[in-house]
Amino acid sequence: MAKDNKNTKNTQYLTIKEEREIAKSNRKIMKQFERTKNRKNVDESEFTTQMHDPRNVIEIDNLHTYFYTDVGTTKAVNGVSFKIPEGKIVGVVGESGCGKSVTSLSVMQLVQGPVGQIVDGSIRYTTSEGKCYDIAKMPRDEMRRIRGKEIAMIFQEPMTSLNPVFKIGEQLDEALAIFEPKMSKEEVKARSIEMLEMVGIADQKKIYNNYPHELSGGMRQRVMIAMALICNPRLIIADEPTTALDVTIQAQILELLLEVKNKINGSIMLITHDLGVIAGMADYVVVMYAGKIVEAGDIHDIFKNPKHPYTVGLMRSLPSLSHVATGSRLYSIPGQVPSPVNLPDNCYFCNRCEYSFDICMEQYPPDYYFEDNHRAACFLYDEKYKDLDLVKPELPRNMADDSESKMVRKIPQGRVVLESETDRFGG
Amino acid sequence: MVKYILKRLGLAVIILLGVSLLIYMLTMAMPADYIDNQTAAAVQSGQMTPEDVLRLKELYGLADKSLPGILKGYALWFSNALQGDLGFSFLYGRPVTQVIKEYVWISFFISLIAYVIEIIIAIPMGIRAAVNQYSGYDYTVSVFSMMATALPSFFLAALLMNFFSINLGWFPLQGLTTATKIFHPSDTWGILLDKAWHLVLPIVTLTLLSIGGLMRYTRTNMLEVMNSDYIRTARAKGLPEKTVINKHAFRNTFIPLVTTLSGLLPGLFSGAMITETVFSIPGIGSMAMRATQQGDIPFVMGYNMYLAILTVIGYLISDLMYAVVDPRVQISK
Repeated sequence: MAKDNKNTKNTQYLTIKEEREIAKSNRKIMKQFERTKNRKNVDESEFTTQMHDPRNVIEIDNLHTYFYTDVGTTKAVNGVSFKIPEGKIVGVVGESGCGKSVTSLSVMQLVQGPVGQIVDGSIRYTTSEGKCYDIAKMPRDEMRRIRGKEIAMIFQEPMTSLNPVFKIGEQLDEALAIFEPKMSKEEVKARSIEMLEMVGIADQKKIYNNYPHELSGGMRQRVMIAMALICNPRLIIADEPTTALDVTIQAQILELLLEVKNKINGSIMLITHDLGVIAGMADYVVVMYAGKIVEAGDIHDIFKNPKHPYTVGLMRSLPSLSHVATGSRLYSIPGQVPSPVNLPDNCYFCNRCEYSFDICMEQYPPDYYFEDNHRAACFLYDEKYKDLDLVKPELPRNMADDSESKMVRKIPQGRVVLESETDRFGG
Repeated sequence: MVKYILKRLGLAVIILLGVSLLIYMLTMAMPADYIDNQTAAAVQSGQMTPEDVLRLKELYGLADKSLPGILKGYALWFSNALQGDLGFSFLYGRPVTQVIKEYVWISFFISLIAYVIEIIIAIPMGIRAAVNQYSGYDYTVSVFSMMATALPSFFLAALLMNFFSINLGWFPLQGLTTATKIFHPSDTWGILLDKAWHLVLPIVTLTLLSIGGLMRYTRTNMLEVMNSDYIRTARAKGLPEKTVINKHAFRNTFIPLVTTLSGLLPGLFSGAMITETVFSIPGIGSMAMRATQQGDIPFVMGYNMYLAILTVIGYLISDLMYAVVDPRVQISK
């Protein structure tokens, strides 16, 4: 026990012996995972499963993705469960390093191996042919049937996500040609140009023959979107698609995403750390913290009636015009995220939480459910502690007066926009 | 493009001017010159007086070792070199250009074959090692190729000679032709085969020496590319792993490889000084080695200028190749 304590205090100081032990066990574990993943001619029944609800495009269930690093096992995704209904946009929010991106990469089986591995859980997905696969168990070879054609991904960095030595056209064509071997070169090219037009690129024929470095960041992200959509995927994963872009382009790209989503009738998993983007786009929100989901629910529930102290903290730390008007300081959540290598047994947020009490320091809270799928992992909502008269986190009054409050309001098109974000969306 | 090349060539002239002056001064500053080497025994035995030696030195233009004297000698050499006359080799008694012309081809032939084999072996090895990073293959290949690279060339050559020619007797020990065999002059194939047989060990030596470096270079570049975002994009598109590696990753690794390897091309004409000497192959490298040992100033000057020109051309080719293989690089100035 004493040794354990020492470990948790100084994770960066490992003795050579400990380091060697970690490296040895890592190698063993990684080898085993890689071998399972690299198997060929695996029987389909091994990774075929059943959806719990056929209306969902994807069901992520108790997903664990770990990184076997030299300083120990990093639990980047540590038991994440959520689902994406057909035609809906699910937003995944959280600060940097909370496991949002790793969750999305796990869905694509693109976690950087051999260090990163999906350790446990399942990712159930129904293909357009009606077969239901568990992506977490799929061998690498089979996964190609899903990538690009069924689930497509748009990455955070348009500047580096396109291969610098191939022309835009070639990179687009190739994405389509692999799934449509019967199409002639001209047909493929015509479709690529059509896609470029769809994502709002004006001079498509010229851009088709350009190299990535000849385009601006916004243009490249449009090309990335075109590339992702070229095979009509049913699910689009957008991993912080606007983070690297300047604010004016951000809004355009988001508008474009919404537009094309409706055109191809797909679902979107939108990963971002920008609550404003989520408010403007998502139907359903998942808030992640240190590899776990702390709160999930409908966009209205999350924004009007957030339950978890972390969600409330996130919203309070959004800059808004009222801060400027009143001259008040912007809120920031104190403290730091625990190291993902040595996660404590208690609630990961308790040492940063103003509402925490005894039990929070002892065990990790289970999920507590509220109306329509709204859930939060926080002991404040346990019936057992009802008598303690705990103070529950609430949004400041100016943020959460009522449904048509300043914080969240409906705009004519039926989309929800944060007041502080109105400048981004052009009002 | 043409303007850029002309500019670079102009720059090369200045570089070569500086290089030639430096080499001339350095060779002149060597403590024992050609005449000293040649006459040492005669002077010792009393057959020649120091006056005789001085007279000889004057005849060879080696007497005046003061700075103005060196500069004067350099000016003379330079004006002749401008007319394409690199002077007479003291040691070989023939024009330097003629000696270089005669002996360069065998060196080039050896280097070229070693270069091709090196590329064929090292690049696929580097790619495979990078794709299977930290695997058994990666470690084995890295360790063995680095071991071969780390050995000094004369030592590796001696090891190979000892093992393959002395112990096993598979290959001849030294030289380029079998002295005990007589070939009919019309027996071209026989002569060629005999030469090839003699060249196996030198080529193996040169290949082993260079494989490690190129393999590591390929591996490092490939690893960097494999971790880049566009490789993830290529995988996300659903491309087979083969296409991802052979097309998307390799095309990017190709850029530094092509520029480095094409830059080495002129160097193939420069000869492998030590390997050629160990195997007694009459190539430009071993000729230069002998000339340097003897203080044959015209040959050393001529050979080093030749090397300098090859190096300058190598860099120029390397820079031009960037524009050819990397669409992001454009040569406009």
